[in-house]
Amino acid sequence: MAEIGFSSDDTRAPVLGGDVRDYVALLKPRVMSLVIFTAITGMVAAPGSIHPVLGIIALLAIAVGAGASGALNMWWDADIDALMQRTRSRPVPQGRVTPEEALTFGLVLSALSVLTLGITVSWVASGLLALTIAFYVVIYTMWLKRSTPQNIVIGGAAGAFPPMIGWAAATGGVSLDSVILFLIIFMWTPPHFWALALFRTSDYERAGVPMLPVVAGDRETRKQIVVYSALLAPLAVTPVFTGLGGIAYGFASVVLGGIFMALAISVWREGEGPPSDRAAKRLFGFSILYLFLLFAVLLAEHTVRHLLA
Amino acid sequence: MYVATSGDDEGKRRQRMRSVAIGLALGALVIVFYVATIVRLGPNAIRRSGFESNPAVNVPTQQAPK
Repeated sequence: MAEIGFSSDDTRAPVLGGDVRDYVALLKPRVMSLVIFTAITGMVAAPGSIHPVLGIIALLAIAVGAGASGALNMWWDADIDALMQRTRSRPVPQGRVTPEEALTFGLVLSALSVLTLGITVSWVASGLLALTIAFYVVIYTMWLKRSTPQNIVIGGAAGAFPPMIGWAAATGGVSLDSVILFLIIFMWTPPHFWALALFRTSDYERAGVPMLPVVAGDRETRKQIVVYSALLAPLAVTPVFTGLGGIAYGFASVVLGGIFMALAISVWREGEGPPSDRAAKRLFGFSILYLFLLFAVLLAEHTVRHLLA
Repeated sequence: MYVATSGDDEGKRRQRMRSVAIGLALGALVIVFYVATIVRLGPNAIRRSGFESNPAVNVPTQQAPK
């Protein structure tokens, strides 16, 4: 008999065992890059100092931990990933990696990343990384995602932890400034994901994921986007008042916050149909740029401060 | 009866690639811990405990029992 996972009643591609690229895809590299970037910012902006080699090891562990939680998410969500256009080409729904392989891969990398960060750098940072992985996999993926339209509001905390982990790696603890960085990403997540959900509603509907537009409709979602954007824009300016952000950051946060708010209002004002989709796509695209630029300016300011010190 | 298929070769190739990747990852982990140990302990990592730091002296610091 021909072996290696062939199944006569399975019409999908035969499971020969995934390629190395499939395992890389399980780590969600694009999400990982944003995690690394925000963690670097937290690490550099922190008042403490960390040996560059230990800093790189910490970032590596944080990146692997984030990737591991992505693999565990793909293991659990394989059934709904297969129904959504955005996710159906992932390795598990495609049958290139079995759910058991994805689970093992995720668990092993989670354990290794948490232990490595704890043993080599800081147990506080390691504990936060373990909390992030557990929050993303258990609280968000297994519980909230399929049960409430508030899934990404609460689940967004998982994506907000990386700068705090970077901060803890450098200082050995957390502080008000690291909490502010956490809150900025926490508040940014709902308008970012709801903008995506507005033009991907049918995808979430088909998969039975109770995203806000599916449960409460487009009108309510657009209103909520404005509410969260109105909370995010001033919150992003607060680092200036605590001394975390300088003049450049203050200027950037005000201008970028204004643009974010204007785009959120345009999403709210547009009615149904293609113009509404276009407005949502514009806000979604800009939201990524917004977070990137905000953290990039903060990172640049603190890099300059370190160089001049 | 076992019948060889082209999938066997592909499966073996992928298995080999995964094994190489796991080997490289484990090697990288060993290097990470080695380097982190040197960085954290500094020069102490290569000093023998219980001896003076000056290698020319090389006398145990603890006194011999009377």
